[in-house]
Amino acid sequence: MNQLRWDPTLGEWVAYATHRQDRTFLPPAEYCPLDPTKPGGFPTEVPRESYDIVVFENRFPSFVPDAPEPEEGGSPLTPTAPGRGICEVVLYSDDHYATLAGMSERRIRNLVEVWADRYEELGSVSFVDYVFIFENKGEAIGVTLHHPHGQIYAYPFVPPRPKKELGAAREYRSRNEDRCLHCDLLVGEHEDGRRLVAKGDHFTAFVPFYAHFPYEAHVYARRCAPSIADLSGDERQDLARVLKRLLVGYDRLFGFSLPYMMVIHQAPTDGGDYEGVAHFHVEFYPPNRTADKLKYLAGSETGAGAYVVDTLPEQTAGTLKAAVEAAAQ
Amino acid sequence: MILDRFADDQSGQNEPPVQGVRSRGALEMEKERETKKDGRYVIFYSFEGECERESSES
Repeated sequence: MNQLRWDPTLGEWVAYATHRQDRTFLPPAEYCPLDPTKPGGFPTEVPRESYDIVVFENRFPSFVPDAPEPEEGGSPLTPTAPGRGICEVVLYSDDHYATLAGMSERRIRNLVEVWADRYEELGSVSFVDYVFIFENKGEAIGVTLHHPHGQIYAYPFVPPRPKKELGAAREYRSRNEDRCLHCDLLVGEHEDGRRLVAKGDHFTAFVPFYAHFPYEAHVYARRCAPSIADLSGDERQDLARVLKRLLVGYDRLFGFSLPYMMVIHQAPTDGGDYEGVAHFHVEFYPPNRTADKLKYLAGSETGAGAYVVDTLPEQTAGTLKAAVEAAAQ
Repeated sequence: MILDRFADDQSGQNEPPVQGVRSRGALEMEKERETKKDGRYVIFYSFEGECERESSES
């Protein structure tokens, strides 16, 4: 059962997918459903003995393309809608024990190409308004499978956080002679310099001035490209390079493979005009505030939507930059 | 094919190629789509010269 219910108090959809209660939960490595299918072994999600990068439809999707009209009809105040969308799993490698940080720049570059292909293909589907590419890594984030993988949710609406971000960028643009909010933020970060973590030829990684997590980092395209589909070959290569440097630095930070949420923000695919409004970038939210302490989204963050952070971005950026540089040597 | 399944009011216009080989700069990507027994699709991406395994990567 996939359905949407409208929350009129926040003005946003909530998705319900009750079948996900029964999804596979932390199976032992020998029964990983994301491994290749070995001769004589149990059939996994991938019917081949090896693979480079694989994308498949999620067996336990939050949205499905043929979602029926909900039996629960709601009310004019609280309408419902079919949970219509597409959910994919992206397998980065057939090596069960690999991580994105440990992969070659070349493989990450290939992954960038797959992301771009999925953005274009899913975004061309009529009911898809937003292609959201993300990765949850580590049990601290709540992953249910350890095999290196990310996910894609093709939503039938523009989800709240990107919508809010796009709204802020559009308003900024209207008040500042058509300037791009993200371009101006990036100029400010370059001029200040204290929160920069890694720079490539076309991308910059930094801890934003207003980071919500201690070691949050954003990777911005320096050119105002609305989506991953707009990036050139050189830009895609540089994105892979900067992602690799940041990821290796994250693992160096506390001496273990750092959990994180990685999300991509870019232009919706709802037919709107997002030139100069959407600015392709990747955001990382690691939950660790120290090696053994996590930042929880507790009362203030969840109930009030107001983040309280125990560290200053200038401090954590310096520590993270040192880790990135040490890992590069 | 994926887009056939998801089609409703689509005209079929603006649909990207869903299978085959395409290049961007020096990168050549091959894309193969299969349908599993339960009807879900799986797409295999491979890249020219890509034969390394993560165990050898760093």
